[in-house]
Amino acid sequence: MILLELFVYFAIISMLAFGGGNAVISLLERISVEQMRWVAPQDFAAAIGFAYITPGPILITSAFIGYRAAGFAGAVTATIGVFLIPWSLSVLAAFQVRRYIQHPWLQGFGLGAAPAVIGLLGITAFALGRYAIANWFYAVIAGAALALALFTKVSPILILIGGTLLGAVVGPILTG
Amino acid sequence: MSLPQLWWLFIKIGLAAFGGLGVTLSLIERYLVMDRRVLTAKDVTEALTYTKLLPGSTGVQVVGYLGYRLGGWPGAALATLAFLLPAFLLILILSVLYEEIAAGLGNAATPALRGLTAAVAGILVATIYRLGKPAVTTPAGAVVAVAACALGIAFRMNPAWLVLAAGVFGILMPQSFTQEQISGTEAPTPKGESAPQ
Repeated sequence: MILLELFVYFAIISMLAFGGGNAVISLLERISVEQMRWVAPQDFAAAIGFAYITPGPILITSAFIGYRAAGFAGAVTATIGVFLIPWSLSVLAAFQVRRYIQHPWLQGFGLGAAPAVIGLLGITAFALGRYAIANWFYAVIAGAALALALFTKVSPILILIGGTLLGAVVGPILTG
Repeated sequence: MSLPQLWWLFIKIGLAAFGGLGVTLSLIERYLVMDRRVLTAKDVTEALTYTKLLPGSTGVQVVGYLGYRLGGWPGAALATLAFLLPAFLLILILSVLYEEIAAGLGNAATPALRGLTAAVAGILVATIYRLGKPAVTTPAGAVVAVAACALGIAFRMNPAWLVLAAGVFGILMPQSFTQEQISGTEAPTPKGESAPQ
């Protein structure tokens, strides 16, 4: 029963994704390519590429793997499998944190953890920058995006569209 | 905020959340904290703190967490469905057309993807500044933020462990994250909520 397999394996993958979706990409590859043979190796590379060019979380690529394995029903099943349990846990956390927010331990935990969470976002920014900033031109795009986001009310969506267009049109001309 | 409003706002966020968690947070910070003021920067950091400890896609969990804050379980469900729907439909279209586009992708897309990612990185740094201002208020907080960033980059330490360690540090010495240690003046005891900056 392939739908049940898809659901169970994607649920297991999601439960091991400590720190976020990127933490289980290699596990996702091992299970969907080598163990269950839902997709071929070159399909998996496309799966990750698709995840990057579409909005939303990287694990939405589960829909692609599920589709390759079992059509539309497979796409829906894999998507529910990979998001349902972590989502339930987070809403449960929201509920519990609200109940106990006055407890000194929870207050202390939140105080100490908040700066760490900000620091973690710095890791993401660093990784993105390392990939994107191949030369000075992309550094200018990043700097302009930062200035616009920090000092103006320009919509982030417009900044993203602008960066993509500049990269696509001017990038190849300037950098060969 | 009504549930239909919540639905459309998260459809919009889901449509534009290129580049994963960073842009998702930037859009939430822009639409829900700055524009509509239904959440504070501290709420967003709180959602990140507790979802980072749980396994799974952090973006979806932050949306679920904040959706619950805005509209209980129905709000959490609606916000998350709306957030995922655009990405799911796009992936579905790409899946159906896969054979046709697999060849064309690759080299042609790289400069565009680089430009997009550079913009994402810039926007994310602005978001780090906005979320960081109320979260990093003492020298100890600054040390924790820099240490978490450096340890993650240099040793690829798992984010969940870093958050856990910093949280335990906060339980043991909460005053180092609330007091202005340079001047020695006592900051007011933090509550769960605070006014928008």
